[in-house]
Amino acid sequence: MDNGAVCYRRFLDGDDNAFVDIIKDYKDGLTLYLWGITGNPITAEDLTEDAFVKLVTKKPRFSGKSTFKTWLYSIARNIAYDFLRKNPKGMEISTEELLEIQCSGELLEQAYIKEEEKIELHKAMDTLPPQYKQVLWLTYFEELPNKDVAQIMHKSVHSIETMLYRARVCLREKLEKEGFVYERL
Amino acid sequence: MKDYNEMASSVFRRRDEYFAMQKKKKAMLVKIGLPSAAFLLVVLAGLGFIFRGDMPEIPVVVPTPPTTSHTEEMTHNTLITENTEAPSGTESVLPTDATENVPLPYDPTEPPAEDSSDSHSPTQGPIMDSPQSSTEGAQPDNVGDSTEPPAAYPQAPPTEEAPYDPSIPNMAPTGSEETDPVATEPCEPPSIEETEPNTGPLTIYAGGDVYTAQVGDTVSVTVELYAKKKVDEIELTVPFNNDKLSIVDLTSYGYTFRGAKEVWVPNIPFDDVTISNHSYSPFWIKADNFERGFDFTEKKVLLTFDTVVRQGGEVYINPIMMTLGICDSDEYYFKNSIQKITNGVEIDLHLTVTPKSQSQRYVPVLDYTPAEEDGDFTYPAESTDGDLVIKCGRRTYSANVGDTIVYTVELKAEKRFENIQAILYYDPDKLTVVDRTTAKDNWERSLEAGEINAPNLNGSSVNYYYAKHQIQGDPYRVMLLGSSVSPKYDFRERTILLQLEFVVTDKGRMEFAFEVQEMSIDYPECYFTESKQEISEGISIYPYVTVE
Repeated sequence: MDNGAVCYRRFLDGDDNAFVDIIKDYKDGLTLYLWGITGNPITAEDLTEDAFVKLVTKKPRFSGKSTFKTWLYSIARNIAYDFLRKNPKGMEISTEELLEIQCSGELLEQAYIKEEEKIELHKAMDTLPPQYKQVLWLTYFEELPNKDVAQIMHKSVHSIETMLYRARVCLREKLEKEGFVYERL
Repeated sequence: MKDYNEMASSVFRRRDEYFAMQKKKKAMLVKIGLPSAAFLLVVLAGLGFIFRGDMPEIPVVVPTPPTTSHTEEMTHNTLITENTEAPSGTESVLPTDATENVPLPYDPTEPPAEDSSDSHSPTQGPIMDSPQSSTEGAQPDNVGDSTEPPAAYPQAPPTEEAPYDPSIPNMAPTGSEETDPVATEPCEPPSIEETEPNTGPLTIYAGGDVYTAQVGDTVSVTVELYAKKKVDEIELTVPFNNDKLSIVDLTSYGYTFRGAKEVWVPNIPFDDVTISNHSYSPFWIKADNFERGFDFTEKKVLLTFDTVVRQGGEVYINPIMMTLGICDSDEYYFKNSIQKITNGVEIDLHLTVTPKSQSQRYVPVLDYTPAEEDGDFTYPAESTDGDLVIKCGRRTYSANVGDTIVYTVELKAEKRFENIQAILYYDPDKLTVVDRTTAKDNWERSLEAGEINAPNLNGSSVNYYYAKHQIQGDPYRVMLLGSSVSPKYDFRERTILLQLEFVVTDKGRMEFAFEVQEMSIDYPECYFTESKQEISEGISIYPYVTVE
């Protein structure tokens, strides 16, 4: 059982501190992932909190067919898409809020990603289509295997492989234009 | 941005607020519900006293088994009230005080009447049970079990009753949020205690009709919906006893992908629908699209699924429409399982019972139509006189036990494509793949293994997956995966995509289904994605069978 699954089991048995560990381990990565979907880190953070609230109130069964992280990301993705369906125009934000969002996003990047190189990569991903951003994030930053990425994104493994190939090509072209080389691409 | 401690505090605070609200609601329900129930009992007792001896005789129609053959489709009728005439062969229920809210029965011989704002149409009526049905007593099989996880899943400690949430994969529905205490649930007598599997006939009560099926028969269930106004939110559950009927299970995924089709929702876009617990009942479908809505202004299939009879006895199938919201409006046809608007909405339930001898293994409904013959191509001649009758695309073939048959798919596509993922479904009880390898397990194998002949997939990554040994929940199938970005696959001239040899091992009937899941031209341009055909022009698929 992975660490998230162990903590969740402890939480279901009555240990709230175990859930705090879950939040500590997954909050930042999940927020960044949802940021890729929603385009707004504040919304992403709210939706991350919504995902955790769903777990503590509804206590769904984790079947163990995937990793806990994959399962959690699937839940959060569905919440994000529900939100986007009901709020197709997104949130209207003022210039001040825009600045705050930018700063918050940068702080989150620095806190979670840590490596400078990867931070640059993450910034470069910003102009890619959402599906490409998602697949690159899950593969390179969350380091999930293709099978798990496919499960989160509701695609076949081969679709993910094709999408990944094309996303890498797009990103590589963009980075090369800016004089940046990322070996893993 | 919050740190993790701040977020944890906020999460637990919201949890406490949520449970406090749930408790408050329950307390309110008890506070209002108990005195109301007591009052109703007094009124009913009083009415019984007054009308004792003067009560008009209400004819009770004893349900009789359908006189038509098992394969004939029968149509559901709604609840009957004292103000209507019941079509023959249906159950009727005693009238109660709630009759003014019960729509008149659906008459399958009459077309739907024009909607009238003040009166109930005599030809419209939903399946939805009205509140009085809940006073009849017993709970239906398995609805009460919805809080109990199936044995295969890990057992969580007892929790607060949690409303169903479609955003959570693998969540078993435990009830409906804000369900009114007199909200409808299908009622049926308690199931008979049995100490060993009942191999006798199964009596199926579906709506107002009664069906009979034998163990091994296939029961196809179709729910149709008509709504005069477009709807933007649908939430529906179909509870029944899983010991008696089991949904034909094709995958082990928590979500039903379009390719799985156990519970098939053909008239709602895949991205708008969530189906949970598709492989056992109660399963739930939830669909919403607040921008475009869903058009059921002409009656069409809402959902359909197949089940197999596992045991004899009795079972009830009654879909419960929990939510049916009207587009661009705050109004609902149904909300919290209660019907709010009776005019302009109709829900029909159809069952088809196919005897086991005529049943064939379920195959997915394909999202494309195989190509017709043209001047350039002729399918092999059909036949139906062999031991095994094989439906394949547009044709029917047959072969005798012991014969070797070759299944072929030819493909013509105007644009070159960079990947393909397809699954061939077949019946392993009737056919065995000619096995040319010595592999004992299910491994992904290269084309050199020999079972599949795919001479024109010459890309960098081509393999297939053949379930040589049945894995629980994994359908018998052959999966083909190929990827070649540069050069792309070239099928601009019609040519063989794949071939597979089988040996016929049993008599009966079966169908091949070649499901194309992915075929990407230049992402995001695709011929197929998630088993849905995105581009139908310029692509022709020719599946056929030859007997050696």
